[in-house]
Amino acid sequence: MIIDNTSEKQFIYGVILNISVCMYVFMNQDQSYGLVLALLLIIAIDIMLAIWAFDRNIEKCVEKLSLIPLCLIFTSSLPWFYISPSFHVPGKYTAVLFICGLQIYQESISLDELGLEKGILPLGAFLVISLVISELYGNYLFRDLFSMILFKGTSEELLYRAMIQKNLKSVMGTPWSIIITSLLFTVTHITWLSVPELVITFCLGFGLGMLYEKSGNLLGPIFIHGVCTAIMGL
Amino acid sequence: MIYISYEKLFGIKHDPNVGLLLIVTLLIMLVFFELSYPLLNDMRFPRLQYLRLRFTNLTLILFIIFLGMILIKIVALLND
Repeated sequence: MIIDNTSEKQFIYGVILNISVCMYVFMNQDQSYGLVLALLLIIAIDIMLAIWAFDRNIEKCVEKLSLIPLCLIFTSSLPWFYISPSFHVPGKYTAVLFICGLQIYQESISLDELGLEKGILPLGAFLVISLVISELYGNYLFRDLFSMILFKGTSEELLYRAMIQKNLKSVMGTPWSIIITSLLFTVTHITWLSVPELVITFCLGFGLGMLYEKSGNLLGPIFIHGVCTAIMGL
Repeated sequence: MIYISYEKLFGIKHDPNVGLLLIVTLLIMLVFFELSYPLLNDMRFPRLQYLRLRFTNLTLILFIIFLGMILIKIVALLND
């Protein structure tokens, strides 16, 4: 079955809306129903992509969007209480990195395509120095910087900027891809339920999206995301 | 960062039982993989390969979650 371009875009909007509903239900209503909705959404997306002959760009775009509910199920369903609370953040974001890595491996995406080719050495050096300082002097800021840049920054920027925004761009153009990715980024942080915080999150997502778009390099957004998160103590 | 109650989500007294739902979904996926294998080269089902590929990720994630649940049960039994 072949569908036209307008319907394809409506399909993407529908997926985005459903993801938002899933996240809202999971974070603010009932976690169980949120997980059930996420599972149903992934299955529905997979079946629809298989049945309907979408444009390849649309397919790739929706595939990447479906990673958000998949990450939600994966990170929420593992028994984190077996590990120390200080390892919860690295553990959960390693799970997100695993899903992103799986997708990258399956599609054979190169580092250059992800925007990770240049500047990885200075970032690595900074991370090592942060770790050494935090271990030697017991400095919590550097420990948090290391953890947030390496885990939270890398995983979320890979997911939102390198995968979702990049694929949305080919379907909706640059401005809308940045806006929609920032909205999704905000929706996944909806647990705060404070309008100013959500506005700040949206602005941060928009800025990171712009930076990625202008520089074509993911390391800048990763670094800024990690630093912001470490400073805000999230 | 979301911290959730594992007992609340996967306990049998909670409705809906997410653990049971995930495992039933995993079983259905595995049955689908098994039954659709002979049809892989059948030209009447051109999108079947794609559907199998798409379900691979979900099945892998569900399987890892299943292993986590088994681990919890084993530890609970050993503690008893």
